[in-house]
Amino acid sequence: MTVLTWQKQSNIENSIKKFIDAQISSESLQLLNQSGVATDVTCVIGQRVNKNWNLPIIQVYSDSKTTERLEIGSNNRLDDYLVIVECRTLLSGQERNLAEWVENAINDGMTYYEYSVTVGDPDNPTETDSGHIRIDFVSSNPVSLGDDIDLFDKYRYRTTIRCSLT
Amino acid sequence: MTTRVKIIKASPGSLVFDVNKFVLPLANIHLERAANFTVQEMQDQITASIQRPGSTGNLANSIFSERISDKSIGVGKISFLDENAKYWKAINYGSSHMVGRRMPFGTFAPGLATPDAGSFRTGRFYAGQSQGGSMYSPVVKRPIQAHNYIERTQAQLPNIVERAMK
Repeated sequence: MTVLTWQKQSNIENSIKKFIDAQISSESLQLLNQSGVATDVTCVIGQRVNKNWNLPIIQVYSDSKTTERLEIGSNNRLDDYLVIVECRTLLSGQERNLAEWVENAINDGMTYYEYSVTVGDPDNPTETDSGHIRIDFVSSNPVSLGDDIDLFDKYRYRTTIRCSLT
Repeated sequence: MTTRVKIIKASPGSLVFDVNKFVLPLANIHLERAANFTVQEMQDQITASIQRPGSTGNLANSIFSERISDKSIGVGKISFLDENAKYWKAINYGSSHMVGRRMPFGTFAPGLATPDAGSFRTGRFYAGQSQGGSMYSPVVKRPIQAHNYIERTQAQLPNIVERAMK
């Protein structure tokens, strides 16, 4: 029996989260809430909205990948991974500021880690430095879904990036 | 090192004349091909992400290209989508605004008018319709998950342009 280790999409998601977490921590990044109290920014992985999230958050997930043949006559592939980064905040305008901070932070890419699952302790996988994630920005837009919407959707900013491994 | 480049013209006319006669029409053909491929790609992405049977195909069919100027063609007319497929944003970006709210009375089909858990993603809810006189008003439990068909299409643009140039 073989326990499938995390593949590249999961590794990329977690490498980006690790990098953003480190940046948040080094700058002690916070945003004000509705009461004017400074609130920690957290980075989460996953596409599905979770009602237990505490805004403001930076949501990261890998959506899909594109695979091109590297050269004619070879089965070597050039894989690109489409990653969505959504900033969801409590107050209007914060989402744009947070997105800009994220875009500046990840601009130079980050270390790519390979994670191997620890049997019996899946929450603490072993990580290995395995290269670099190169970032290309695909889109950067606020998400406006109207006025009568949930707080999670109210102040959203979506940055789409294309990641490749070097 | 200095390199001299000599432009050898096939006809004795001016270079501007040749550009207008040969290069611009070719560029125009490539532009139209790229626009058509982009429309096809976006429609394919929408169709591929449909999760329940019985889709009318309205969103995919609402995506078309339109010439904006001599040198540009737009894909996906927002004013048309806002009018004819109002849910285009919610499908692309995801939305949790209906979670916890009660939908208008209607019926689920195919299957029982009031479905059980086994009917997950096997049919659709039709508001305002009844089945054998039976109607119900469900409470929305899950958010609409982001399908990201715009971003997935954007990620394919390098391939689309390459195909259009062939």
